[in-house]
Amino acid sequence: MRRTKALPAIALVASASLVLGACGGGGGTSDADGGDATVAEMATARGESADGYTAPETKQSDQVVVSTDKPFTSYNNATEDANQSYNTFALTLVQPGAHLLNGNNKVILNKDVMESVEVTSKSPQVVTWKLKKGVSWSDGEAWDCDDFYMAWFTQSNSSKKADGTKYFKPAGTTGYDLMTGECKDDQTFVGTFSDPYPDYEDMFNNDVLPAHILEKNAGIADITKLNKDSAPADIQKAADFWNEKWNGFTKDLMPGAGSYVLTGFEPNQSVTLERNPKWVGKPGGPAKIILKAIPDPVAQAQALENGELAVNSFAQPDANAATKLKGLNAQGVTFGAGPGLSFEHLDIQFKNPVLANEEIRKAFFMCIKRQDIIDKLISEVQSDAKPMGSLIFFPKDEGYKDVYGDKAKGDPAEAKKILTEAGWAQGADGVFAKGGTRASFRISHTDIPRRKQTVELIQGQCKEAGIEVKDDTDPNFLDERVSAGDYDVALFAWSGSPFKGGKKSIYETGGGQNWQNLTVPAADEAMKKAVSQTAIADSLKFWSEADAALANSYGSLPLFQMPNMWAFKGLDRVYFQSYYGALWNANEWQTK
Amino acid sequence: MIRYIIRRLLISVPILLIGSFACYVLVATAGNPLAEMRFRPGVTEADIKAAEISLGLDKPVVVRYWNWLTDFVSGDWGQSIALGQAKTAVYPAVTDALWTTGRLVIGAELLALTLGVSVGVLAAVRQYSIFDYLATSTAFLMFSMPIFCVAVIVKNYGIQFNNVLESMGLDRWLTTAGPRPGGFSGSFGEVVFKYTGTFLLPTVALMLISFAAYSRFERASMLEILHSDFVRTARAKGISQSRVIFRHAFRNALIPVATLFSLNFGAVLSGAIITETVFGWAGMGTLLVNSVRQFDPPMLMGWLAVTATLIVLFNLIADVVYGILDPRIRLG
Repeated sequence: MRRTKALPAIALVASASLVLGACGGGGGTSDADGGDATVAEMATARGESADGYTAPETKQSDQVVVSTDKPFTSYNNATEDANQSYNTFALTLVQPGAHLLNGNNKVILNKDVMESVEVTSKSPQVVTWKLKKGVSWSDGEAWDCDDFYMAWFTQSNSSKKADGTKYFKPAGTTGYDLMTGECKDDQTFVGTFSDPYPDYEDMFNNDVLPAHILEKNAGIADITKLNKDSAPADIQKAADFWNEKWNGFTKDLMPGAGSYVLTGFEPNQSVTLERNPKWVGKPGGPAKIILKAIPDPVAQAQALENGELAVNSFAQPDANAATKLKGLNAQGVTFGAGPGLSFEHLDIQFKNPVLANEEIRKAFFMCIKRQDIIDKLISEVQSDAKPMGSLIFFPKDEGYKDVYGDKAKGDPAEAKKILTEAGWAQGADGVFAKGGTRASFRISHTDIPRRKQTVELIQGQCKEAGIEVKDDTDPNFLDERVSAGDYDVALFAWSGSPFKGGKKSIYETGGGQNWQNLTVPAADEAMKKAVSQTAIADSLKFWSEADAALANSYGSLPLFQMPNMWAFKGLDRVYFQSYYGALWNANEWQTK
Repeated sequence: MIRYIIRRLLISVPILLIGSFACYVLVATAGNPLAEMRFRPGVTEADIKAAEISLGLDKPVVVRYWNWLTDFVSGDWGQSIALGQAKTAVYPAVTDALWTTGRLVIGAELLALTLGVSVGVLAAVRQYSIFDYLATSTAFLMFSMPIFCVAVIVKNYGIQFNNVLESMGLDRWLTTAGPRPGGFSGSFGEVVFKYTGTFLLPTVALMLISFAAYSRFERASMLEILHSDFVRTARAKGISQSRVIFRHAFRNALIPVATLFSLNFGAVLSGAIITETVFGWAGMGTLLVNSVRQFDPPMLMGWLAVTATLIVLFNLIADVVYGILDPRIRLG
């Protein structure tokens, strides 16, 4: 009897030991990340030269499976319904464009398919895109000016129906809406801008689709004959196709003109790319790439550990997965993390009576220890992460200068001094007050754990400076409240790009996305000059002036860039490009 | 019986209407699926308003629900309205997800039922034996562990097992992240190798959880029956032990397990959310979570329609099985 009573207890203890052991997970705790220098070098494509990119000679390999967070949904990523990064990740090597971005977000002319992109007139600004002859889609049709014309016509969205609504549903019209396009010949697209547009290199990069497919299936004889004054029935036919018929996957409608072509699709699971036999450039890289969606980051990491995948790519960083992947260094896994194109920041609402006082804003900036926030929330993923020093430039951009370093030192004593000198006095509750107004306000944000932790850290840091920060967590904050300016301080992220034009509507007086009621005349003037240039290089000086003026207004405080992270095994070089994902140079991948 | 089934189906109609309305309102009012549009460069409030009108989001939620309902009963399941989903058609999305989940759970549930009932019967027949204690301990352990933990443990051991295979010069067998893209190809042996390797880990994880419940229910039910008067009478009449157990007791003891199986099977078909997440299978659970996260009522309604139908169906099956297992139970 004693024996039988003891047995289940022993079984239970033994089982529990096994369970607890396994629950703890495998893997070591090595902090190695595959060598920063090597990973940093991978940001540059092997085919890059001073004047552009040409696919290099590359040893060909077999199948490679790559994971990412979310599934591919559409071949036409330029529509408002479909637009998402995960489509871009799959299409970057399928739909070539005029330029590509390397891992450092440097804009590079795609010389495999382009002869040149030049400003041929400054007033009015005229840009000529010269396409290379002999480039074709995988179905044999030419990749030519018709495709550029369609990209312009659909995204300029200038045609209106009788009721005032528009035919096409582009995700954005920026740049295209300023342009009038025409095909001079099969290889020459000319765009004439109604206003100067220095960011023209941001156009025709990942939105050039096969016009011949639309013509054939929508019953349009020649897309280049379509304009805003064409017969409504013709425009409607084109719009019906462009808006929805390229969603999901239909092989015959979705050829590739890049080094790869889509050959398979399993909804919500994966999309398959194979080398394009009609690719005009040098063939290379894996014969087949399967881009597989695995939403759980740790599951992605474990699949890499288990040899099911060769590459993990995470647009959303995850500390647990990062720790797991660093621990696999000894098994030949290289882990990489780098700053992405979105950045967390704090926006001050200028209509708030407390924050309308400049000394409060100055003291608030001064009390925030940004590096401390980064160390606690980001460093596990990206160990070299630093506070961001600009609202306009990313640290790797030409023209970047840290204009916030001396304004946000994380120095509570200095913050107290600023308030005291401005006539504020610390009350019995430790919070500064002046004329019955307390230095107290809310930080509003959506219900994301990282943001809640950020606010908790700021609360503690600013309490030392006599500033009371309240947490306002609202799952729907980004829905109506942020655009209505219903906040004291807003914590959210802006997604940027190497092109600066989009910043104007955020920071200019009365701008469409200036929800914080910011008014900085010096910045307005500088931004006006910046966007009136016809080349990015000419506009940088003015963007720098705007950046400095914005910093001096103490209206927005950039915190940090959200990191991207990735890991790979068995390949020579993989780098997660913030905008195009891991596959941006997969044609250069070679097995080790 | 037919009348009973028709009556049950008719009763479920108002329940489904109320349930679907509640779900629709909860998701539709929880957030705006177009909120992220505000953060796209160059998008104006006018663009957002136009998109809202195009998707019908400018209408009151009751009107939207009614529109969905009238479309649905006429066979139009609608399209996703979530940003980035490219207006995915709801019907194929839901049926794809159901197929994914079905492939996972059917094998797991049948295995769990077979194993659970067998272990339950044996544990009851050999009450207080070592086998009974071991079965009880295992079942309670599985019962008390979070599903997440079971799945992670199974996965970790799976990866270690693969490492052992590899160290012996063999191919890695078990996969941890969803079905193989492109399905299974090769010789018969290769297909079997790949198929079992793909399904084994999630199936085992799901099976362990369900097994615990089935074995406990079967044991308890079997013990009750074995101590009942008619079993005592049967034994007194000299009927053999095996005949008493399998002919008389087992059949009656299956009734509560049949109920549990029917309810459980319907529920897991609606989505084994945690197991799907851990093993990277985009099934019904993933569809539900994404629909709610993206404030996508059409997709959620598609999920609900299938799930509710399955629950009603399996409840009916349970009722019908009662009558088969125990002829004294009459439906009417």
